[in-house]
Amino acid sequence: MRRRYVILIVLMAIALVIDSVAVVDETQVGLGTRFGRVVSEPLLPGLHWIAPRPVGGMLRIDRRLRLTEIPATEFLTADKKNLVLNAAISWRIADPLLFVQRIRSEDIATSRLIDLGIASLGASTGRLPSSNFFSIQPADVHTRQLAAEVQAYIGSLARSSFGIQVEQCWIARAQFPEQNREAIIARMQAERERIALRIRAEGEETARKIEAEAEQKRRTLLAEAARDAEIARGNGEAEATRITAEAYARDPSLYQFIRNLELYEKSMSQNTTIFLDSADPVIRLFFQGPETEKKK
Amino acid sequence: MNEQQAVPRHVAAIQRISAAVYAQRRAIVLAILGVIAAGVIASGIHVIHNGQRGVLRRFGRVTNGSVAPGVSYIIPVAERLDVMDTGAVNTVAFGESLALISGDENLVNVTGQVQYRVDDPGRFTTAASQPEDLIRSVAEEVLTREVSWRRVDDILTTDRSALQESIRRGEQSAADRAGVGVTIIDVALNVVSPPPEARSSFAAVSDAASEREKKINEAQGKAAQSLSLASAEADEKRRSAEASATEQTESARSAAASFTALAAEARKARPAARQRLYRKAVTQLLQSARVVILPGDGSREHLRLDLNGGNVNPIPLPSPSATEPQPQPKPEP
Repeated sequence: MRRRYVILIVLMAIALVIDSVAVVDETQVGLGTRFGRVVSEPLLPGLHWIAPRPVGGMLRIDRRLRLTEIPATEFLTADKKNLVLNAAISWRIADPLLFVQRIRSEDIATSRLIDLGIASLGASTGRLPSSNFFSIQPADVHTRQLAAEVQAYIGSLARSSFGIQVEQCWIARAQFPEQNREAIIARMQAERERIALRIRAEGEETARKIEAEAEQKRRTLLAEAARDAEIARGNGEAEATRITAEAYARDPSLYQFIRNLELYEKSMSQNTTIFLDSADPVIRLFFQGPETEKKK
Repeated sequence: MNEQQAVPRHVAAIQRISAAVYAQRRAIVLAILGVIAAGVIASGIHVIHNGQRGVLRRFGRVTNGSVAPGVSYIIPVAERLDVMDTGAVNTVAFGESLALISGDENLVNVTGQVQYRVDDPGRFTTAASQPEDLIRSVAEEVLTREVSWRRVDDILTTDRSALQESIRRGEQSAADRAGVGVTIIDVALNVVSPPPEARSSFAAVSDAASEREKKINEAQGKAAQSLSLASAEADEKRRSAEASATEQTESARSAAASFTALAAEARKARPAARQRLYRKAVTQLLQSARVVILPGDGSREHLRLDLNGGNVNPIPLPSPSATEPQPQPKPEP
């Protein structure tokens, strides 16, 4: 009889021990409770002693980095353009006790963050012109500054109110509203047509320029060649004249005589009719015979 | 012994077995406990294959975030080993149904994927609740930002690799900040295109561009051809001029040579030489020209023709006896 009691007591002791240890996973932070009230400091992952049930218990809080994506929301920029932004917030529970006391559920935390995010995004976006969201000047694009503003706003509130540390906030997507799409596409198409026309005109212009330049070069080349040819011919003529003059200098009167004969030859052709006096010395011999010539 | 006889045989058998089991009760309990203990002990043996890593926890706390492949033994109940594939390259797609706005306010569709490898499974499984959503969202953030200051034409053509590289860098620093233990291997863009409705307009622009290139190329070809023709023609002109210059000088030289020879002859017998030249010339002249002979006395008076009412002197013919040539307009040198 006595031995049976001993066994029962040992078994109860074992159950009590098992009930008094609680495991906290790597992804969690533990909070020991007594009658539902948190009584411990945050407990790190590992094995912890707690008061056994039903007096004690262990609350486990996820301590991982969490991502909350704010659903696409339409905002108005300072220059009255509608923009649809998708922001995202990465956060973790930094003060588990405060978190448990204030909101407890992660779903509520997420919806609070989304509400805060949308409010803050709306306020900040309303102060910025759309050129701070897209511009060909990289320095004009301020989406990161906007995200930093939102982060600062949500961060301080969430930390002090819910024990949530906002690690980072960013604008993941920035789009035009769906209902503007058609108009934007039409503008893009018109712009493309203009560009295509300009490019075609450019092609035409460049081609013409090339042709005109080539024509100019061609004519310059030919003109230079003509000049050189003229110079060469002139040099040839000068040289020929020099040679001729040199020869002439040897016997000017003979040269003159020959030149005159040549002149007659050249100036009189088959179309020339020569009238001769029958007594002309040139023909006299023909009519009068050699005696006359002898006599003469 | 009456009672004993009243007991049926099968009841007696059960009684015998019970007695035997009861006699061996310790041994049986020990055997059962032994089998359970063996089972529990055996449950601690884990095999991690190549390409896998293990995450070892003791009472929930990660004690080894990257257990190497091989056989591992863990303490049952107290320890837990989770095995995950780490050799494989994981991908996260981004940019689906996203109409990005370029710096020049055009819409662009860009989709792609981030390829990453888990280096530290312990961190990967415990640091963040949705690591892949984080990777996707960060990729879209970088993409949105990078597209927001570039021109659509650059995005569609030259800036692709710059986009990829920016996303890769942004991802790696975000992953490092989040401490999720991954290495971003690569970021690949699958689609970089204008929205479907505007695609044909963009194609028209590139058609125009290729047409421009074609036109310019043709013009350059034509220009080159015309220039080479012109340069050939110019060369021809120069050579031809040089040739005629040479011809002219050479002909002058030969004329000069023959004149020099003639002059030498004339020096020896001046009148005879002149006579000979004169006759030759007159012979040629009379051969080619029409000759009309009018009877006269040599005074040539009747040869004076009154043309146009003016006084026209007939061409004075040189006298064969004249030794000196008639005065003529001075010949050009």
